[in-house]
Amino acid sequence: MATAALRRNDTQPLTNIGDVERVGSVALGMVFVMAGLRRHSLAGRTAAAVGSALVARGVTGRCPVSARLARRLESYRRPVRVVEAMQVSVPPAEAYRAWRDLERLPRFMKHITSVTTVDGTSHWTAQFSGLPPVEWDAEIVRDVPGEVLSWRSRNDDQPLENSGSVTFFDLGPRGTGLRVEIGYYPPAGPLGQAVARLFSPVTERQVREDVRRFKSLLEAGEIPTTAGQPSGAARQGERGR
Amino acid sequence: MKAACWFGVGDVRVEDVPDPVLLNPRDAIVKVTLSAICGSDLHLYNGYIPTMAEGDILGHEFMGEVVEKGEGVRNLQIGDRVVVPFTIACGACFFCKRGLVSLCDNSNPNAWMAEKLYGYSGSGLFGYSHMMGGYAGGQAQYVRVPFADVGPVKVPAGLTDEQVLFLSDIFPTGYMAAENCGIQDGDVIAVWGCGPVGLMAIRSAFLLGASRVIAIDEVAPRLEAARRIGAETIDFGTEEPSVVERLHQLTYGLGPDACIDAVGLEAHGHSLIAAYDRVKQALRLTTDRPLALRQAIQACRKGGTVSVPGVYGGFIDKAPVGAFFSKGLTLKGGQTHVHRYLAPLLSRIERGEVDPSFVISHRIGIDEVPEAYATFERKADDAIKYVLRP
Ligand SMILES: NC(=O)c1ccc[n+]([C@@H]2O[C@H](COP(=O)([O-])OP(=O)(O)OC[C@H]3O[C@@H](n4cnc5c(N)ncnc54)[C@H](O)[C@@H]3O)[C@@H](O)[C@H]2O)c1
Ligand SMILES: [Zn+2]
Ligand SMILES: [Zn+2]
Repeated sequence: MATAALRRNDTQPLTNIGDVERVGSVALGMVFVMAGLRRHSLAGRTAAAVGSALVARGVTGRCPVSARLARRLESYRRPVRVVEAMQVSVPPAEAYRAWRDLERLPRFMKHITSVTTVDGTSHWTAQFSGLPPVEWDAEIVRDVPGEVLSWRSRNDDQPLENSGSVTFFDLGPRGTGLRVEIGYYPPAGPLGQAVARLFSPVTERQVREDVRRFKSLLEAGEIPTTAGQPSGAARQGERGR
Repeated sequence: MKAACWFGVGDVRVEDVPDPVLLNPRDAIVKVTLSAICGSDLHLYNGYIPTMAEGDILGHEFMGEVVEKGEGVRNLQIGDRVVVPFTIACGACFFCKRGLVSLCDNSNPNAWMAEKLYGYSGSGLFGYSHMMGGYAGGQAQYVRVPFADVGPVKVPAGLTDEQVLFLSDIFPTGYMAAENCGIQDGDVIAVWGCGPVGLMAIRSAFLLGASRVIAIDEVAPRLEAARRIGAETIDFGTEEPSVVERLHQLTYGLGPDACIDAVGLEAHGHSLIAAYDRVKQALRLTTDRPLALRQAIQACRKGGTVSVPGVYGGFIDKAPVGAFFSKGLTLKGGQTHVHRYLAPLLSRIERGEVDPSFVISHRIGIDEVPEAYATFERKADDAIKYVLRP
């Protein structure tokens, strides 16, 4: 450990993360807290809560997550994997066509602000609340119309190294069984890993919400919303999302 | 516009809020001509349904005139007079296609909240908490109605607002509760609760062929209303012996063929077990007080059905699951699949078989809504059903 770690006794370090990481943790924590507090939503509150945990972690120098993860994760990088499955009441061919229309994915992918395609390659821009936009290039790895579509980011020096696939199962009269798998590599180091793990339930929910919006668009032709409706609260508009 | 808004437990205020606007292609805006307060609203008023937020516009039983519509709404014209179902449904998903509209997959923008609690989410509802969609409700002068191409039903000119308003909720709710009993000619049906839902269930049970209906409550004018539409009554507040024992006697030991719990999670009682429920709920050790549901399961005849239109939100304690199993009972419940009852029940009203307006006890304006909640909550002033012209 790089710090002059305070020791309660010789075997129990009070801190288990380094100074650089502690500063980083506080800084990153603050970003989440600020971003979280700006949004009056559950996601916002979650971000704020995670942020304050990171701040506390940095200030105290103790991280319950690092303690466990450091041992397992310091030596290698594992992708965070999220799987979502959903029934959609349209035939697989139609579901496939809608997903294959990459430039229109931002209609239901909340954090993707744009996708542009140039012969075989696509350029993605994403915006996560309170953070600067992230961009990367991706290519399609497998493309079987009506059955499967998979992709990955082009090379591993990209800021958000990621890959994914959508499989379209034929459910007959019930339409399509969608299986969506997203994998991404968090930034290297225990902090990156810890943040990624902390956020993976949030990521899971984001993926589920994206897939749910996709389903609504195909089945109902629109995405349900209450954003912009009246309320008697002094602060107008919808909380929630 | 003016709207009745929730601000906390026992705190409803009429506020000036912006008029609603179209947000999606399948939306319409309805100018409300008649609206109502429901027993379900009391669960919000008393704070038993989570995820309410300050300023939420209440109300889910309303009708009015179409004043605006999105490009996706072709079946309605501006000026049409419509009743709006309290369940919001897309008409196209797995559940809607089976007529299970209150389980629609595509109408709750906050489905994840309900999924946390229940595993899966039901449809969005008007004015009924954020976990049920957070939609602004109908105790207001205007309402935005999503999926207006599949929900609202047009009303024939010959019928008054009061005759058709309850197609929005309580008539279909009472009817579905009775339908869930699978009534065969000659059946005896017991109904807990003589509020508007219970009264509609009694009326519907007779329509569907019940020979006798035994209704249970403790509020005199409500018991009287039940007797007026042909029910025998048990006053659980004063009469001895217990409700279950009385039902045993009244059915010659067989038990009612089906039991309807039209009370829900805020049941009252005077027994030890009722006190136990109250204490546990007050301490937040349990969410719901299932007194009527327990009695219904206990009293029901072997092989019978327990039908539950009364709302439950969380967990129940001391559920007689042994009785449920040993007697081979069927248990049915849920929010009403309103859409599928609109056409058949509208024609029953047109044919003069039923006039649901018999439950109305009070007619008010929107400014009187806060006071009405307080009175209705105490079941004072012989209150059974409030309707309001906003
Ligand atoms: N399933 C649905 O879609 C749906 C729709 C509308 C209403 N509801 C629910 O139906 C229930 C009744 O609604 P309402 O408008 O008639 O409400 P209400 O409050 O006017 O009536 C409830 C009645 O139950 C009586 N009661 C209380 N404890 C009892 C007990 N232990 N035994 C017998 N009766 C008892 C009360 O005295 C009252 O008369 C509520 O839970 C409401 O939320 C469900
Ligand atoms: Zn209601
Ligand atoms: Zn649906």
